[in-house]
Amino acid sequence: MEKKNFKLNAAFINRNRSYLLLVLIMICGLFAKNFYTPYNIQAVTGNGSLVIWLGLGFTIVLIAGHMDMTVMYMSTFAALLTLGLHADQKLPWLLCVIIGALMGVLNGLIMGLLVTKLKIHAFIASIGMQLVLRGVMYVYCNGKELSIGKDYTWNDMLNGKLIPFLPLSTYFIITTIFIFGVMVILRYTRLGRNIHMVGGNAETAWLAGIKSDMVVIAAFVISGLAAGLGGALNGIYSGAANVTMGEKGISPFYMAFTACVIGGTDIYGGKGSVIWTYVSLIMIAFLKALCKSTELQVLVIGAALVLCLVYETVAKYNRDKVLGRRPNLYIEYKNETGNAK
Amino acid sequence: MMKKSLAILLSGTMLLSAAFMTGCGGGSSSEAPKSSAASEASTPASSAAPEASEAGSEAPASSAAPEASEAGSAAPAGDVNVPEAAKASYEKLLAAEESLMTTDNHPMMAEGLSFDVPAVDGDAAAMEELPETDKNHWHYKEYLDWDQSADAQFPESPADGQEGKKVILIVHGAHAWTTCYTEAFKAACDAVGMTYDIYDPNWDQANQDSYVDQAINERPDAIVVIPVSADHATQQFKKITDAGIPAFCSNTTPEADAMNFIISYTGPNDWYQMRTLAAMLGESMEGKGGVAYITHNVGGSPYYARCYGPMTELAEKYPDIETLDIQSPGFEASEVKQVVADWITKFGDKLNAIVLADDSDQAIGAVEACQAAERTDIKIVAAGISKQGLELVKSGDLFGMSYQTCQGDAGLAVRTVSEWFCGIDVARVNYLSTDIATKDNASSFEPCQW
Repeated sequence: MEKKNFKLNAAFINRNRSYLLLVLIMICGLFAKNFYTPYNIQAVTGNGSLVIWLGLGFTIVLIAGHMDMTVMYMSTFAALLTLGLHADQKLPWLLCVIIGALMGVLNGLIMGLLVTKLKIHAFIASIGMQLVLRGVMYVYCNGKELSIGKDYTWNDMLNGKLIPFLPLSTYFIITTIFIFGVMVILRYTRLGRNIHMVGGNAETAWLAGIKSDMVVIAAFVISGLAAGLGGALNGIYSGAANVTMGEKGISPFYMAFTACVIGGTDIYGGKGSVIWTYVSLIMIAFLKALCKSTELQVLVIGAALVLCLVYETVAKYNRDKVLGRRPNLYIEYKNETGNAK
Repeated sequence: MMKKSLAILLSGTMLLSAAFMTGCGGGSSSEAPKSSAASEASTPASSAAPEASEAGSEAPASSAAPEASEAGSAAPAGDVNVPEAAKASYEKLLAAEESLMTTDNHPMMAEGLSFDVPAVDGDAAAMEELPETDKNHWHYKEYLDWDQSADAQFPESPADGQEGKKVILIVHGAHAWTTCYTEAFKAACDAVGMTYDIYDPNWDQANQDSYVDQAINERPDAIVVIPVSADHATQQFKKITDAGIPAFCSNTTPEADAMNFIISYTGPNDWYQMRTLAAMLGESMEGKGGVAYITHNVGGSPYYARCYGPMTELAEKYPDIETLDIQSPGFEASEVKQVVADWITKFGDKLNAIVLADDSDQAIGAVEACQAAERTDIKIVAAGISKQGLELVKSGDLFGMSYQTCQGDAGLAVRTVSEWFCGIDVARVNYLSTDIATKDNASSFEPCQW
C-alpha cells in the first residue's frame, strides 16, 4: 500500500481549514481574559447551538445541490409553537418539542415537493416559504413575544450540565449527538451517498438508477427536522421567542451559510460534511466570544466568508481549466519514444 | 500559487483579526473619553432649569407630582444611614449628584420617583383576557406588579461604597439615543469612581444573550442591562442573579416576572408619559376622530407602552375616538412615510391624529407624508426627546412629545447602583421625572441631549 506523504501545502490547509481555524481561535483564547473558564465554554457552545442546527440543515441541502433558506424562519416558528402550545394548551414540553419538530418535517416536505415536483428553483421556493412562515407566525402570536413563563424545568435542564465534569450544556450535547447521527447517515448509508451523488451530478445519478426526487425531498426533510427540533429546543433554552428573531445583528442564517462555506461544503453541491460545518460553527461561536464588539464580529465573519468564496471560485476555475486533460500523457509519450529528459 | 497565496492570506487574516480582537474588549473605562455630559459637570445650573419646570407645569398634565412620590432611595444625605466603610464613596456620589448636569441643564443624577400601583383582581393571564383597549389588560406590563414572595435570593450589598467597583452595561443596540446614554453613563461612572465595560448587541436578542453570558463570565461587581425584549429579560436577569451578581435593569421595562431577579429598575415611566400625551391629544381632538399608531420594535416594552398606553387612555376618556390602524414599519423615515401615505389614501378625512413611538426618523417620515398630501391638519404626537423631534415641535409639525431625559436615565442607573454599593436600601422601581414638550415650552428642553 502506498504511503501518503504529509505535506503542509495549500491543499492541506484548505482541506482542514475549519479545524485549523478552530485551533487558531483556541490559541488566541489563551491570551484573552477569562476565556478558558467552564462558564464561558458552556455558554459559548450553548448559545451557538441553534446555528449548528441551522447549519446542519443548510449543509445537507447544499450537498444535495439546492439551498434551503427557510431554516431560520422555520426554527423561529418551531420555537414560537413550542412555547405557545405549552403556555396556552398546557401541553407537556416533550410533546410541544415533538410538534415543533414535526412542523419542521412538514416544511421540509413542502420545500422538497416544490423543488422536485413543481420544478421551482430552491432559491425562489425558499423565499416564498419564508414569507408563508412569517405570515403564519404573525397570525399565530399576533406579533407578540412568547416565553416559558415561570416553568423553568426544561429551561434549567437544557442550560444545565448533562455530564457533571464536562462544561457543556445539555442543549449542546443533544445538538452534537444529532450532528453525529446525521454524519453517520451521510457517510455510511445509501441515502447519504445518494445525496452526495445527486448533488454532484443529478443527471449521472439519475442514469445510475437513483430516484433523485426522493433523495432531494429527503434532504429537505432532514433540514426541516433539524430546523424544527433545534428551534423548539432553542425556544426553551433561551426562554422566549419572537417573530423578528435573527433579523437584527448577525443573522443565524448567514452564520450557518458562512460556516458551510468555511467548512468546505461545495456551494455547487456534491461535496461537504456536517462535521466540517459543525467545527466551523464552534469556531465562529468562540470567535464571537473573543471579539466583544458586534461590529468586529460582523467584519471578521464577513471577511472570512469572502476569502473562502474567493478561494473556492479560483479553485473551481483551476479545476475546470484542466478538466479532461491528461498532462502525464505527454510525459508517457516522451518516455516511450525515448526522448525523455 | 494562487491557491497557496489565498490560503495563507485567509489564515493570516484570521490570525491577525483574532489577535487584534483579544486585545479589544468593550469600551474600557481607562480609554473612555470624557463625554459632553461630563464636560457639563462644571457648568452651573443655568436659569433654564427652573424655567423648564415652570413651563412643564403649564403644559397639560405635564407633572407627575399627583401620582408620583419620592423613592425610598432618594432620601437626603443627612437622613441616610451609610456604613462607615462607604462614607467616603457616598460623599463622592453626593458631589456627583450635585455637579453633573445634562446638556439641557437638568440634573443628570436626579432622584427617582415611584408611582402608586392600583390593585387589580386577577393574575396576568386573567388580565390578558380583557380587551386590549382596557387599561387593566396591560396592568402587569405597566406597573411591574410582580409577586414579591417569589423574589430570588439577591446578593448582599458589600456596603463599602461604589468606588473601584466594576460595572458592565449591556445596551440594546446602536442608535443616537444609545450613544448619548452610554456617554452619560461613562461620565456618571467616572464621577462616582466606578469602572465600566459596555457591550452593544446591536438589537440582536441572541447577541444580547451571549453578552449576558460574557458579562457573567467577567465576574463584575454589577451588571446593568437595557433589555432588547421584555419577555427575554426574565431569563437574562435570572442567569445574572443565579450567578450571584447584582442585576439592574435600565430604561426599558421587563416583564413583571423578571423583577423577581432584578435588584432595581430605573428608567422612564413610558406608560404614564404616553397616557398624558394621549390625554392632551384627545382634548385637542375634542373627543372625536380617528387615530393611527406607529409602534416601536415589536416585543420591547416601548412597543406596548407607546401604542397601548395612549390607546387605552383615549378609549377610557374619549370613547368616540376610533383606532384606525397599528403598524410597525421600523425606524426608517421612508418606510414610515409610505405607511402614513397609505393611511391618508385609505382613511381620508377619518384620519385625524397619529401617535408615533419615535420622534426622530418616524416623525420625519410621518410629517413628510402629511405635508406631501397637504394634510397638515393631522395632529402628530411622539415619544422623545431628540433634536429632530424638538425642531418639529417648534415648527408646529409635531403637536407634542414626551420628555424622556436620556442622560438622566443613565445618571439614575449609576446613582441607584452606587447607592446599592453604599449599603443603602434602593427602591425596586425608580422612575425618571416626566414632562411633555409642546411648541410653547420647547425652548426649555434645549440644547437637546441627542
